[in-house]
Amino acid sequence: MEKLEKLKMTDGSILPPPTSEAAIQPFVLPITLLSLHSVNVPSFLDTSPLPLVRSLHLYNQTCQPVQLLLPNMASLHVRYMSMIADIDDLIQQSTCITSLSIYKNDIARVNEASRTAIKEQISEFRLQVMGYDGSGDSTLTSILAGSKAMKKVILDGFYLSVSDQGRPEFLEFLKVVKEACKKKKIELWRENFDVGNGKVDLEK
Amino acid sequence: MIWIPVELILEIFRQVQKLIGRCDFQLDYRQSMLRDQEYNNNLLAFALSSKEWTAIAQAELFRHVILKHRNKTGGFLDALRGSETLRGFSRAVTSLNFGSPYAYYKTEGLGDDLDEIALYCPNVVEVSTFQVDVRLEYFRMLLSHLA
Repeated sequence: MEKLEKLKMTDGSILPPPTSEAAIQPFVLPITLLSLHSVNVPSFLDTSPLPLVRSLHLYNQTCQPVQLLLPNMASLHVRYMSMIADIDDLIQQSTCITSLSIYKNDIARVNEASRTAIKEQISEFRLQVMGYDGSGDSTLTSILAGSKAMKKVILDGFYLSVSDQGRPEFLEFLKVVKEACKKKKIELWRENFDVGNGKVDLEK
Repeated sequence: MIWIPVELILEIFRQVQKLIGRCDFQLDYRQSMLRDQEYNNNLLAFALSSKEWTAIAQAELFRHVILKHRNKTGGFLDALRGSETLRGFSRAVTSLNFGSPYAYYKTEGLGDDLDEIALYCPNVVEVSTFQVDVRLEYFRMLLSHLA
């Protein structure tokens, strides 16, 4: 599959290579995006066939099996990670990422080193808003205020219910983020909301 | 039936797909699979509606192929082996979806099947799997084919 760019797996497993000598021949996959959602992966995945992967999407996975891929990543998407230490490891070991997608409430859970990495490296920051509870708002504004590379913030409302989208707490959060983006001249976008998707006018 | 230009028929398909909506597999795999399947069901209905629409709908059906069970994969390959016309359509496949939430996907010999699919569908850019056990080498580039 010489044109294959994206491999997206949900459940199932990545099986270890066969052990017979005849079957072990070096190979390279052309994929640039790898997405793993609750996939059973060997504790140390052989990443040698994946030198071209630049975008990694991990949902309910652990950091260890994909560790060797991280230094090459330009884009990282994480969701449903039960251990915050895994998110910290992923962010801090992805030394070249410029694009990060993370559950908004995890912002308050990541450690200081991860926050610093976000401030230093990330130019496109996607926040998955899910069941709005207000946590992480002050951390987020402090990250935005201290960011050195941030150009675009995207609020992703895919998992936010219609009623949550209209809650005063969420509207207040929007106001605060808008203000923080305006101060730093960062673009703010809304995606996957029921209404009001697109670039947000920070002057309004 | 009134003659309709191909471009307009394709636009009708696009609008049907827009009405059904698409969902990124990574955001919600169930919705993604359900919507793609619904679109394919609509294309099947279009294909049966008139002779003029059949080939156009078939070609569109081949853009995104869903193989929920292993026997569907076998059936897909059998169909391609037996028909030059379908092998022509198969060059349009850009996306392959294997597996389903409702059944375990038998993976014995899957590597060989994928090698053969790669020959018939050289333009695949995206593979999505659900509840499928794979080895990375199943998706390797076929160097013999490239040579």
